[in-house]
Amino acid sequence: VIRALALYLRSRSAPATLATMLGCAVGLWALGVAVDDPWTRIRLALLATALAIAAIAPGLAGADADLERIPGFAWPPRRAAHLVIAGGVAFGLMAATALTVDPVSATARVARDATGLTGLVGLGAAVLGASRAPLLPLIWTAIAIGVPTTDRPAYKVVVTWMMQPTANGGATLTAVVVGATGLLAYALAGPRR
Amino acid sequence: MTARILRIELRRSSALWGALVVAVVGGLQMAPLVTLFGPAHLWHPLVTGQRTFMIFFSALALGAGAWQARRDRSNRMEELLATTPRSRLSRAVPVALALALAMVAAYAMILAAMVAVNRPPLDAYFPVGAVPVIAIGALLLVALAWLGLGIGRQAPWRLVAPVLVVAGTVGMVVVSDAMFRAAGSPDASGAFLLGPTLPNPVARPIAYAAVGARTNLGQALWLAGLAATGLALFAATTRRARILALVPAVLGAAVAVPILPARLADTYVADRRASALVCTADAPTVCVERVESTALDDWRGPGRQAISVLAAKLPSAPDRVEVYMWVAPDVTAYPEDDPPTEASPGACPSTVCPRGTRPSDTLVFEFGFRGREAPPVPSHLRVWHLLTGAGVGMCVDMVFRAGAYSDGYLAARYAAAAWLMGQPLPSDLISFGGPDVGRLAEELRRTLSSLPADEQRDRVAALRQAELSCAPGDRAALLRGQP
Repeated sequence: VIRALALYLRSRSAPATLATMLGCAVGLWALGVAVDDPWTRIRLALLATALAIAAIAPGLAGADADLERIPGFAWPPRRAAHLVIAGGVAFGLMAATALTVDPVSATARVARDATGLTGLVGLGAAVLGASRAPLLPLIWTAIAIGVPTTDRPAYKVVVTWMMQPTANGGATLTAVVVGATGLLAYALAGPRR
Repeated sequence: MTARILRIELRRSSALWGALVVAVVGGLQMAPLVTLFGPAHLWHPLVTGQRTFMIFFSALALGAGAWQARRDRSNRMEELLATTPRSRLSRAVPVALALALAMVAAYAMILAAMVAVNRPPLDAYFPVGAVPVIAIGALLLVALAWLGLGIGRQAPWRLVAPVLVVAGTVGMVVVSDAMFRAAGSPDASGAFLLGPTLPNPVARPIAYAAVGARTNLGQALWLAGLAATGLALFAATTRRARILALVPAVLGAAVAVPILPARLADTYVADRRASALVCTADAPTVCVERVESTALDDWRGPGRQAISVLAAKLPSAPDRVEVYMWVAPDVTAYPEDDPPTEASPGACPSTVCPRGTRPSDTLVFEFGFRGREAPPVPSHLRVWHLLTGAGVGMCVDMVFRAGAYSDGYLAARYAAAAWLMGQPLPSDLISFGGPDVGRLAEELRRTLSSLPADEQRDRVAALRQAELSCAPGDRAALLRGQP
């Protein structure tokens, strides 16, 4: 089983994904030391989280989709597990960084952002294919960091959910809905070819 | 031939998709921000605002370039293409040109979205200096896209495009953060202008500022070098070529830094066309600043009414009205032109009279406050504002007494206007000062109108004379007849 798992991880370029996530964590830590402005720190933490999650994308599809259909696996739970574990690792790394001496971002914020962004990358893989999957989380993040953050009307909260304060229930709800939708879409449909 | 290839690249490559992403994200970001940049009729804050806030979307151009550069690898064409005898450059240029065209279009579309949200009037003053500011923004997008091509070609991995988008945004946010923090000090280095953002104008009102020629030239050279490095990296196949590719960027920076202004504070120069006066063709002349020329029609009637009221009621009246919406009595438009000098005895000191003299033949109405634009003046109050203080602007050192508004001074000025108009003050005229100003002014007006007509005229004329020279003394007492 260990051997099969190791082979699976290699076929899904897990080392590159993990290296990118580690790079994000180290980079965020360094920026957390260098940058004081609280507003900028929130933006930087969000950007680092977004990249760590986007790095999951290449691993969401194997090299040969037909080959992977040959064994009689039940893929949906495995795909779901892949996405959840990868998102969890990214969250763990970013949260650990965020908890260093001077927190760059609150853990609750990182958790919310990681949930929604992981769903987006899964949705991206299901709709656009694994190689284009980073587009969804990155574009949404790019919009959210540049648009002024307000707490009404509702559609603006949905658009800028990543930049909202953690106390904003609408933003958390958006993250959970996006996360669940993406997870279901990827688990059931698989990566688009 | 090249044109045909270019057309095919535009159709088949990801250039247009990349530009679409840049345009949509940039447009969504800028459209809600645009009202913060400045009043709708000012072009210059609009175009510099786009430059400042492009840090949040321009890194997408880096990603778009890196994405496009991976095309050969993802289609497994690299080995096949390496066997062709034609140079890499001949394949690189059409791709790069297509991407550049798409990025210029994206920048223009974002500007168009901003204009659509905050539509400047068609006859508003368009400063020629806005054109290079727009062009350099587009050039920055092209330089980033080409840099993305170069990096994506040399590092053709799937994660490079997302990494570039995030790292590029982080880099630009951090650099602009550092720039804005440094901009507070007058000695901040002009080398910050190699970064993507422009500082805010501090030395003069935003409407009178224009990005200086040295700023534009330095930035254009640096970005051209950066773009050339990107293109050279995209075409490079050998280690030597890769190292040589870095030369243009280094050279660009080395040439740009001495050209850029030495101090960040000198990023902007005065736009003298913007602050020059535009006047009515026929007498009596009414003038406004050119940036506010669309307001000339609003002020023509009230200006002439003020002149005729003054001429009818006072012995000496002005025959010309100048309305300034961007200079306050306490702000000089060009500090570098009017260095404060030691006032000679009897002269109006420059801190009190920025214009040096307060001419009696011109009604100068300065309505800006510390270099900010005046709030809109309701049409029925325009003539009242012009006649406040018997047609003379405030003396700054008299408005404030011990850190508070001097209510008596303000009330005397309003009472003079009420006497000139022959009506009680409109209730919505008084916008600053203490709560008693209106009551005090009405009291003064009643005191005044109980006097013989000649005495009334003499006292208001005396107030006008005192205001013209900013003579010390209690203006309310002057109207009451107490020496």
